Amino acid sequence: MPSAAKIARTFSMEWSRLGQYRADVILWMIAETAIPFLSLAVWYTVALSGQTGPTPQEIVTYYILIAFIKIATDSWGGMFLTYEILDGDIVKDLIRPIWPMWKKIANNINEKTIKLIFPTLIGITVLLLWPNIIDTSLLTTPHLLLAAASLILAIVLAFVLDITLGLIAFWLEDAFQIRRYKFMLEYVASGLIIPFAVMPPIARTLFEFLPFRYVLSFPAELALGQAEGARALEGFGIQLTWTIGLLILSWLMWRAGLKRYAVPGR
Amino acid sequence: MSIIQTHNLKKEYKVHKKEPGFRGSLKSLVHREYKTVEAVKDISLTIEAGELVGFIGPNGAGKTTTLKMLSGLLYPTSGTATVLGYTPWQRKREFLKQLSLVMGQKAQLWWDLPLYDSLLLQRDVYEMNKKEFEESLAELTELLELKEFLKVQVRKLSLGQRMRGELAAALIYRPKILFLDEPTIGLDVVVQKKVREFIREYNVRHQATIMLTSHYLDDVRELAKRLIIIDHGTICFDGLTESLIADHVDHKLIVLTFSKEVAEKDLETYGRVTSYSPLKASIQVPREQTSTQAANVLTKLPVEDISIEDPSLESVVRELFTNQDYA
Repeated sequence: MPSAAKIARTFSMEWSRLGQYRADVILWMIAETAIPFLSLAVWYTVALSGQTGPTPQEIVTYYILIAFIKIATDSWGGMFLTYEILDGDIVKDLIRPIWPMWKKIANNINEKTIKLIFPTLIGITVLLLWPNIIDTSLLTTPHLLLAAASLILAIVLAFVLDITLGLIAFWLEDAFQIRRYKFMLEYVASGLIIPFAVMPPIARTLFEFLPFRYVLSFPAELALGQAEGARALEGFGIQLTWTIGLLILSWLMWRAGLKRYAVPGR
Repeated sequence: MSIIQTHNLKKEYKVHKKEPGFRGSLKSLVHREYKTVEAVKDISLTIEAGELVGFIGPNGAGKTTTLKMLSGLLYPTSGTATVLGYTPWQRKREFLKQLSLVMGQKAQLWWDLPLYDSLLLQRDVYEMNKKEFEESLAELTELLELKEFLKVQVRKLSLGQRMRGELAAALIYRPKILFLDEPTIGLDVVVQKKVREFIREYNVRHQATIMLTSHYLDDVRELAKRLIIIDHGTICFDGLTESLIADHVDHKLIVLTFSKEVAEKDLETYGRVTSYSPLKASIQVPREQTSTQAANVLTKLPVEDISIEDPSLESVVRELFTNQDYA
């Protein structure tokens, strides 16, 4: 293992770099939370007029949690990795006696720490101004503990999934196109636009086997008690399988990719 | 002691061939054609500790690919290499800690932060203690004149300052091996000179082994006693720079300054006129006739100053590999 000082310095450098891009971080933070809040508006209206399905309070609670989880699990390192592989910039990190992914991890964690302020503030504001709009009775301690455990796994899963897609650039020059499909699936299959609670059964069954639910919806479902007992266990099983599977796959891809890599340009 | 050894090193890679235009794109969608490029065909070399070697060849000859294999960035298709006792592409941490690769355009520095921050990162990544770092920083600050911009954000530095910063980041941890790929590209002559002097000084002070590629061949001549010329992925010359000139060039240059104007046709009787103005000219003469023709010129023309020179390394290399762009 590299010394802690190396990693600590990488984190502190990333932190300072972030300070240079404050406006950028704020704009991304707003953009990232826009979709959950737009979906909230739509489904809240539906819930108000509907006889069945989740209550309006459940919808608000769900989407406030989703806004938080969306930022906590957001990953972009794989996109930069694709650029770096395609234009050869990755050599700058390969030549150094520190695992190149530390830089990506530091960048991801630091940036998210700042971005999380926004949904947290919104959650607190909503809770203070309209305490009845959130169904706090659902958020019991066991639910929240399970959700927290699942969120940690979701953060790792999202990061590894993103890096795995980034590593495709070792084989394919059009790795960016594949990333578009990831975005598309992320919208429909993660519970971001349509909550799993109101999804048609076929779609629900299908999407339960993809990793996207376990990056976003699953921790929120656990917090709200929508997945309990055997369903929670099954969910954790799938989440863990995807995480470990992708960790192994990305490690193998990293090794195989470096072996065949022909650094482009100078 | 050999510090770098390679044996039949070879690197091939496949590139996708696509004809231009829309038709070409459609065709490549259905039927992809690949061709194999042999970037390095067969490189066997040995470099001793403390040597400063010039590594030159035309664009696309395989220089950078070779340096990348030696620094562990690329796996070879076949062949072996040992650098500092390690197989480079295994990229062991202890190996990476002892070498540095400076590539003109691939910056090590963090653009958004001051140079000093990047140096601190190097200190931690290369596991230097505080004393080693301070000593090395003081030395580099003096040699590269860093003081005035050490605490300025890198993106605000001039190209010359940035290159000096890059060298500082590459050398702060005192690597035993230094691969310099076009370290002076795009720099003005004053900064080029500074960088050149610095490379020489670093080599002498720390007995570092240096492999240098540069577009400026006469820089290479000034720095490197030994020259390796590579073309089409194979070594076509490996020896002392001066012997390349002695062995491959059978002429010398007589450079003349006149006290009175001299006509060009009056000079043609002594040899081939390579440059001419009424008061200054250069004449190329066969090596064995150099002294006779120099004496003739001195007695028959109004010569104010005379010098006899070997042709520039650049012209020698150009002569050997006609009209190719050399680096």
